[in-house]
Amino acid sequence: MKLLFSNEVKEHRFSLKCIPHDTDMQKIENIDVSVFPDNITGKDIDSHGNITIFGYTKELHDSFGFDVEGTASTGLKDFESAKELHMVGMYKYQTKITAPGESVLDFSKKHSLESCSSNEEKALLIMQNLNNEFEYRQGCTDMDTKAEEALKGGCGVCQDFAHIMLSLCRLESIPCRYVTGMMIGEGRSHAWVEAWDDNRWIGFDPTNGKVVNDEYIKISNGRDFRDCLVNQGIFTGNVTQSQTISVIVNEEQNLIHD
Amino acid sequence: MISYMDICGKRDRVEDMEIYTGADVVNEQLARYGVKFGIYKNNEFKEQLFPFDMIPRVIDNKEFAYLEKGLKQRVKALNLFIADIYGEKKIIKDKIVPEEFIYAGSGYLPQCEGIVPSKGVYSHISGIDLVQSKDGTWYILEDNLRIPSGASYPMIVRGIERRSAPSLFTGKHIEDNRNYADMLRHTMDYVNCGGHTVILTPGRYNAAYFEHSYLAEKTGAHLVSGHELIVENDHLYFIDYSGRKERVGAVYRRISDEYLDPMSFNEESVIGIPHIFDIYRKGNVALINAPGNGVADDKGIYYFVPKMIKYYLGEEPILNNAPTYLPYYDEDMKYVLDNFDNLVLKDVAEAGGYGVVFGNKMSKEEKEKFIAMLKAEPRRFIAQEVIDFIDIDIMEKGQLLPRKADLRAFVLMAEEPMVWKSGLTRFSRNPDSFIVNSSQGGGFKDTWVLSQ
Repeated sequence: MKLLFSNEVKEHRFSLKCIPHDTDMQKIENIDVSVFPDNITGKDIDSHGNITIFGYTKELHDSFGFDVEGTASTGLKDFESAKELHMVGMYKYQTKITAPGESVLDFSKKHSLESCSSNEEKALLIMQNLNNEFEYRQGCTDMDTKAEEALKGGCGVCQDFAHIMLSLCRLESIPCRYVTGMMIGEGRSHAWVEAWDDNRWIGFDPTNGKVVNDEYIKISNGRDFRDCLVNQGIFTGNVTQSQTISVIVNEEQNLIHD
Repeated sequence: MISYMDICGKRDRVEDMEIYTGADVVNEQLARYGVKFGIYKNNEFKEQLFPFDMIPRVIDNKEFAYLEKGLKQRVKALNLFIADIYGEKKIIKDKIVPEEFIYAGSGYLPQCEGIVPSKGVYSHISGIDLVQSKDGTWYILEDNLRIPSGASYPMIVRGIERRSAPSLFTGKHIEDNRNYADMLRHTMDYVNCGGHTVILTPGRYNAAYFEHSYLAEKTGAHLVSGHELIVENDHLYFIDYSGRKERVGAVYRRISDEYLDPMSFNEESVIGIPHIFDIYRKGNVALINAPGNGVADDKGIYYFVPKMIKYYLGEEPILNNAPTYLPYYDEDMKYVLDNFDNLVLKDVAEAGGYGVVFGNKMSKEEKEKFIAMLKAEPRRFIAQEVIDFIDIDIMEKGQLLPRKADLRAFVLMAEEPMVWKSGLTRFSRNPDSFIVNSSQGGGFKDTWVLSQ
């Protein structure tokens, strides 16, 4: 990730959630993190289980960035084990970003989930419906677009797919969380959804209409995009900034397990 | 019930009462000491004197012992509740409190999940509002577990009274209330994680700035604002005027959760301290009171406090809630609609006397509009029986006039909860009003707890 400032800034404090953590589905090894300017001051796990690193650069600088390299073994399992239902309540309720409006409510009424007997089946159907009816297109939404606005507009990117799916699942009282991560290949970071079913978190990717498998590496999860900001910072300076993120996931070998 | 007249003797003429001569002097002194609170009206900051009335509220020692016992029990249960909500959530699992009252309210902060603060104390300073009904029963009206203010006013006024009207206290056995600073200091020291203790103020344009500076002076803590504190290498430091850094182990912060740390909460906050929440999570600094306490003092949760006492302590509640209905439950909704005119309705998201409406004071249209809102969002409101609480006389222009008064009791939590043997008695200056909040023009009295 690289951030360019149009002028120099100082007193820059940052929190990064850019390091994938071990889950039942993935094992992360050989992690190498470098931040420039190099000023990491601490590391912790946030309330959603995400690895967070903090830092502070006092001196003037006109760019900021980080590189993370490592190896992930994926597909170790089809789901992540989850806590009991009463422990995941915070993921069951809408946030400001996922709060449904007319479009989301209409969408949910149009599709009956009566045939589904579990959260997993419901989430799967919601994902398929959304994938069929919402168009992937860059440029019609931005970082702050809410689920309702995106669905109303009819198109968006992975972040919007995920937010709309969260909104729809929460309407059905399914605990579900936003996931930031990576997919095999080169490109940008990706976003998808995990839905809770019987003490399991199951990943659904509404952008691609796929259940999450070994092609995915998860970085962080939370109630919505805001909990999973890869880079969050405040600094002193009057600038415009531009951010570029590049993600490269190469396959090393296939793990075969029966 | 005992009144000032009972212990000082009733006189026919107000002029002959001991309190008559002192009132002006005390109010003058209060003004001189800057005992004010600020309010924002039409975007303008105005400081007002907090009107003081010389006739104290008197509580005898037996009655106070009862209150003390009940308040300790309540605050213990509330602390256990907060620990449970951000931890194991047993009370949700056991269906004592419906989860939507936790997660759909604004008081619950997901950022606080899994955090156990220093010594496991969440509500270090609790301000519990009570009223006494005319039959003598005390009712809890509200719990304030975020940043309850008001202790400084009775603290300073007692000192002024003792100097300006010493005869008022001669021969009377009143508990000294000037020990609040020591209690507070002990409470802060108990959770201190190593280093200085500071009181963090948003600055002089805050409503309670007088209190911040007074408590700092009396406890010997540093009064600081956000830009004087800095997080470095997982610890909090105070930067003094010479640029030297000194470690801080406890922050009695008088800024709300939302503005505490722009990295974890409202990112536009300029009065907060970036990363303070992260080192709090690690146990390197104590925040007083703990962030996230709002989950326990919301008006919706209030309904469940007696249930919490039974659930966590296995005891019957000593102090009663005002009879409260939750329209969330169908049965209660029916009762509320049937008895609308006898009830007071409160918006759970509001505080400071705002969002409170009396059923019998609404016009027909207002009522219809309100009921529609109530039906659409039943969880947003609670309804309570209107308690006919006692009047206490105030002295106005040489006359004694009865006015509604409540009591904010302060409970401090260190090893064990401690109840301050005094409190803030607020009264409504308007004869027709039940609302005593200072933000709505109320005044205050000294509160005497008799020692024998």
